[in-house]
Amino acid sequence: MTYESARDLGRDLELSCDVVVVGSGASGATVATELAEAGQNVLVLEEGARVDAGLHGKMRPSESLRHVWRDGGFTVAVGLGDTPVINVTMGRVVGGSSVVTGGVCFRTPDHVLDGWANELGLTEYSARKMEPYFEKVEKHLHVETVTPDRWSRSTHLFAEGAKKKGFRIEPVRRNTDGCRGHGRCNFGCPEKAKLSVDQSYLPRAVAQGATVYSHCRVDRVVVKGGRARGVVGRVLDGRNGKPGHKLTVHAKRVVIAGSAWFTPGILRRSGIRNAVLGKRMTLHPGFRMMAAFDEPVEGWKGAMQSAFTDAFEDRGLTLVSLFIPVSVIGATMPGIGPEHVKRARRMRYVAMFGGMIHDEGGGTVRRGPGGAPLATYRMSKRDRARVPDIIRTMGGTFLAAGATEIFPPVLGLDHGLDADAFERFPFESLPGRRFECSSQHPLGTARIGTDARSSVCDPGGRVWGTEELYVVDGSVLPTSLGVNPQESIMAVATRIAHAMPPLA
Amino acid sequence: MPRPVRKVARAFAEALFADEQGPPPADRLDWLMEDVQDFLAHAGPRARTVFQASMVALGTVAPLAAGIPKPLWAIGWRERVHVVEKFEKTPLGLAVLGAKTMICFSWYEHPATTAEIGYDGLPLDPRRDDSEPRGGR
Repeated sequence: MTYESARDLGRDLELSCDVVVVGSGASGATVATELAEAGQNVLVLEEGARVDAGLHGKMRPSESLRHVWRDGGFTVAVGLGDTPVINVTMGRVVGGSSVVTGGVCFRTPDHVLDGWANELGLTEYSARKMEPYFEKVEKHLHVETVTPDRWSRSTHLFAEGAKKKGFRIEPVRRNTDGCRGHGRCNFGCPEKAKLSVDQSYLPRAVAQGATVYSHCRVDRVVVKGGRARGVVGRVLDGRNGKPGHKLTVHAKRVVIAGSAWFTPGILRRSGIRNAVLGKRMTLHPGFRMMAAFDEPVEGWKGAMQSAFTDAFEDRGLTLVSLFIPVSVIGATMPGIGPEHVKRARRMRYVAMFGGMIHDEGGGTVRRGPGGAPLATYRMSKRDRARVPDIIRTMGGTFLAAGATEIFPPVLGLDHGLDADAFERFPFESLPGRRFECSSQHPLGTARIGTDARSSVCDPGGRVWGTEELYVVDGSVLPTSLGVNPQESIMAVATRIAHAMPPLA
Repeated sequence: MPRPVRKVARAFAEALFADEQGPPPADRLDWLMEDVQDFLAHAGPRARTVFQASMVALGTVAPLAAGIPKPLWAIGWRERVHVVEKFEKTPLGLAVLGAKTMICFSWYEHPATTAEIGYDGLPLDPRRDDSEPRGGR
């Protein structure tokens, strides 16, 4: 079959299929492909538009933000208590957030998987049993190691600092083929070298007969007699892309792949009642550290994310290299007026690294105004104490590499910090609202488990108490991972697809 | 973008991007306002709400918080710089981040600005012919 823009059809849309997949991101594309290749008649519904991969390179980053990212990049989780506001970035496009990631691919760490198997009773998710699913995903995504010759000078400088501080930086693996280091992976690769699922999986699904409809917003699952029968929603063909014509899909099986942010709302509107639905969301709260050097760095030349260290895993910290477009660096440069301009003109001299906290899950997704998700996040005491730790660790590493000025992720700073000022700066006593925090990894709001009282889905991804209704996205992951989750989400989705019983 | 919001946005941008010689040229600011307008038109209601709320805070609350009973656009650019710097340190300082972020997204993509900061847009490995993209399936 093919890709269809429902917006261009100009009428109510009523369709029938074996399986309807809600969401075309990493998990939805994976399941759609697996099921289509198994001979099932699959429809994929995506709220966003289809953007041809060749167009990404023609867009400025801010144009990508306005056309490809959800909310122009301004989605937030509201911090409760002494917690920062967390900017949570997501894609709203065919291919979902896989289009706006840096392409980093980690397998779920063995200790996490074995924790699921041994402590949560999810025996089918042990490291050994998940191995073939990771292998399959890595083959189809073309996961490859980012060798140091693809690292930016920014990453090499951090590695030099790490060596002096006594820890090592290792290459990450990414789903790329032919990367030349444009350093803007999360705004779409200008050379189609990042193999997000719109390029790697969905074409396979379509080749096997699946149809992908863009501009389709699903409001709820139709459940009758305890069994999912399809979905209803709206085509986003009204004025300025607002909801317009009716969308009705009749299906033997419904697969929700709407992300940990949206899946709870779809399930609630479908009549699913579960005490833990939308709760215990983990985010991997992330922080970036910028540092100025005397030498030109031009950190935008190189793979946007290329290296990491798990040397601080025992402190719940994972550090991953990062570089962001100059327009975004400009936004985070301290100061207003001449002080800001002076620093911005030295962007060539700035290096950057990122870090995330392997968190405990203090997030909740509720129904917000107009039915949109409203997410809150309360950091646990343990995680809150890790914020100054991660900032000191990254800043200290850059100083060891010879940085002359540090720009920590603190709001309201009108200047950078030299080594002494960085040492003296009271990160530990700063209120949470002063930290600039972001996340790309909302997970765990409809988790799998062995008990319907403490989980939303059974180990096979089926929603407890409802036949033929499955969840396959990051919301099913039962704990935080401590690493970028794309590959984990896809491997779990593959496993769920393989374990689905034959259609009635 | 409603006219009052646009007025505050332009006043904020004049202060944010002023160097020792003063605010940037008017044509650069015109381009900026058009691009921010387009961003807001496409980025969805949440982005528009964040931007407009930030502008209300900057336009009225920030000067008052600094003891100046005038809107932001009615005071000189140097004073505006001090007003915004001071406001950024208050509990409402997140408004400055919201405004600064959206305005910087566009500003630092203007060809003249990218030239000023030395961004050439070239990849790490410029050897291969650009007309022959690899990858993609």
